[in-house]
Amino acid sequence: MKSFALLMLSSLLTGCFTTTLSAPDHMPVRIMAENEKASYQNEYKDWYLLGGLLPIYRHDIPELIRQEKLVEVRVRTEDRISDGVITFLTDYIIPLFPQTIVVEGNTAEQLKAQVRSVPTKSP
Amino acid sequence: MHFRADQGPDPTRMKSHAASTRGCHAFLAMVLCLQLSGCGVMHLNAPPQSQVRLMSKGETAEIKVERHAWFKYWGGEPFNPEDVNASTIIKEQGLKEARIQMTNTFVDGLYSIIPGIFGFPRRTLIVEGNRVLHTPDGTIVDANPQGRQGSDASKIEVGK
Repeated sequence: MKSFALLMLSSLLTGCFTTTLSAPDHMPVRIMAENEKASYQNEYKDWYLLGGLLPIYRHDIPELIRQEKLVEVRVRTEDRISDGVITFLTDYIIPLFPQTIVVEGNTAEQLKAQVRSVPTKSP
Repeated sequence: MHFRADQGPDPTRMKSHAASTRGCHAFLAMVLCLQLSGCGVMHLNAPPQSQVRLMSKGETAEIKVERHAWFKYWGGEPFNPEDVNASTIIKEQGLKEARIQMTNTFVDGLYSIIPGIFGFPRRTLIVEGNRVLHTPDGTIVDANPQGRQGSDASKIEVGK
């Protein structure tokens, strides 16, 4: 009975991991398509407690965009097996719930470089 | 707990009980991890060949679409690949600017009780945006957008 209650509680608490892709204020940023080339790629981990209910460390995507000077961006959220392993290993102490955020994009310079690298057809 | 009248608690049975409790907890933890660690990849992106401006948090959005994505194999594969891409909603709604949110709502958590245990978790994708393009400062750039026109909804919510 106690185990069932624990399972129910943990299931109820699965609902709060949130990632928002938005731009910094007053900064023009384009959303990229999935198949476009991205020169910038970085992975971040957001950390939660209580099954995702309580964020303890969450990356601010607009701030990342501003810091990296990205002019176009796309994001992927993943719950990896490694995230599950961390939750499993910390389960008996304080269960931590990480979520992986993959940010991809281009700065203005990287875009220019991509345009330059495209071969032009000779007449 | 089992006791013998002459010797007190049976150490063998106590060990067995403790092992069984540990096993049960480990199983529950594993189930929880599986529920939460299914890859469940969500793509916050735009359709190919499109120019969609990313909106900031404070900007007003006329359209809000909320869509749920179901996965199988503990998140390993979506039932419908289109549901895990924000580009699908952006294309359907003809949005010129958008901001995207991926979340596990409380209801997603409720749905995870039974389907989640058997490997069918759910995620929610929320896309907010406009069919008219503005500058980041709020000035209208594209007053006569292509695509869907004539809808005078000040706030349109489309669910699935």
